[in-house]
Amino acid sequence: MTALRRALPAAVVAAALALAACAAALPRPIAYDEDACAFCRMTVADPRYGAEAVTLKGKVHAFDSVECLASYVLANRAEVRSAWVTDAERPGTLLPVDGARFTRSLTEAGSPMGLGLRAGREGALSWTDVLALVRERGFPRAGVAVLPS
Amino acid sequence: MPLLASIVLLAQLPAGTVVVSPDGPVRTLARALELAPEGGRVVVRPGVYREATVRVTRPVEIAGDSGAVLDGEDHRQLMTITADDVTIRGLAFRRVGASFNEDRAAVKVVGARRCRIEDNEVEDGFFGIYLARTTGCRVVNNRLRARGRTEVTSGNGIHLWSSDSALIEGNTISGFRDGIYFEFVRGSVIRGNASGGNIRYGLHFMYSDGCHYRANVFRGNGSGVAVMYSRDVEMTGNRFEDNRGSAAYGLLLKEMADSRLVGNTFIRSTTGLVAEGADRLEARDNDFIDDGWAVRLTASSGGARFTGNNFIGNTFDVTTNSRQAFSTFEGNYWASYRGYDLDRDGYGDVPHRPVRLFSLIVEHNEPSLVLLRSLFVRVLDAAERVVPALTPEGLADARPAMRPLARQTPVAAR
Repeated sequence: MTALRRALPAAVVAAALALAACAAALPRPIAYDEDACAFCRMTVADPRYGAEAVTLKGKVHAFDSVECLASYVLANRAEVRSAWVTDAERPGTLLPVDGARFTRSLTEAGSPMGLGLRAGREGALSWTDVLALVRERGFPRAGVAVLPS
Repeated sequence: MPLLASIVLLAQLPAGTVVVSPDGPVRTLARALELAPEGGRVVVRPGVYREATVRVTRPVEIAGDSGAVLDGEDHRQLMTITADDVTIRGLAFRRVGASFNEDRAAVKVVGARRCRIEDNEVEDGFFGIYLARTTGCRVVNNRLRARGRTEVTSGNGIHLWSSDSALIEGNTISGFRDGIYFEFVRGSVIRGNASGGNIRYGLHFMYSDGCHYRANVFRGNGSGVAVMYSRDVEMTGNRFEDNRGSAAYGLLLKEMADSRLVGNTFIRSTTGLVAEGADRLEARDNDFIDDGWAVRLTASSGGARFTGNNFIGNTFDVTTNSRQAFSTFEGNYWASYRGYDLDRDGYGDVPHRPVRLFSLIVEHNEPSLVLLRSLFVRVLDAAERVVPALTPEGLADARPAMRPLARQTPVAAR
């Protein structure tokens, strides 16, 4: 009992610290049609593709697409505490990138930046694959659709 | 008797024409398209038609009488065209209905050549007119409206994906996500459209080279117009009006190369023009009037040239994030110019430095904007003008015009 009493404050402090740490790493809801993408500057509009990065300082950046989040993370890896993507099947739900899976749906109904990346609970690609893809391909070349027509 | 009447009517129509009417022998567009011969004509009489998505798979013209309405009851695409040489004229399309899973449109054209979509009306569209993998299509004189922000998700008014040689002319577009959207489009022209009151952009280019837009009016769109990741784009005689908000601008140029911006008007916007990574931009004969920031240039916009522009009534004429002069200004009119013209050649004898020191302070600390009209800031700006310490020294107009530059003919008429 005394041991417990002695341990309790420490546990509370630890929990509070953990909470504070979590809070700082958590995303906020994306303000669609208002937030500007921190990478490409476009106004974030399609609720299936919004993404966020939380920096070590606790600053939250919104992105309009998986492509832009990946480009930002590649350029600022040391400053990113956590990164989040929208589950395209459930707009409004953010998944941590490490727990998400990704697909490329190469139709005219593509993603905002044209690589066709979409996040969800299932898919062939992991976040590491996405980073590799974006690093290698960059954004599409102008005038050339990702898919041969 | 009605049957007889319709036979008489049919007899008066040219061969190959099928008439659809709510009470005639042919009551759906689907049936009419089965009956119409290749290259034939379907005439749609006034009435509201509710039927499964109309599929046009052969060359045909569909012409609606005034009052001919195709109604999607908020849950389907209205028409899909997959054949070459299809004309759709004079129809009204209602209630497409938003969807997260598919890009439903009033009219979607897929993999077709030479389509003509003219004089139609789209009301409550999700996407309006949608062209994917098309060549040589014309979208002319249509009126398109969507419900704006009331929907959970939104589509674009005229949407082109992976297409070339299109003409988009004389359309009126409002309430969509982006009024006109181009992705992977080449060699196309956007002319004389009015795109305003859209949720995000009046016009949006992604990865679309060699396109030309002229004499359009973009007014009061949520964020303005964005032309991005493209090269060789010509922008002439357009008006960018009334775009207000912390992230709103008349025109955003982002990652653009070799583009020409000539004879446009940027008026009453929080920011007129934002150029980020706009290489070798030529900005000539434009009017920047009553904007908060007329031009915001980033250092990544190398080799931009501003000549013959008017800067009148703006809070800040030019701002930049660098001390390096990476763009040139010459022969512009600056209402804020305080110099003189002793040799009376029409151009000021001392250079004009359009970047105010205060604009740099605001760039770093936005709330300091409240000091805009203070004496302190005026003294600061005056001191900086005399001895530039922080503003880009080379960013100056060596030949500032003494009078506003006259615009001879409206560019639209050139």
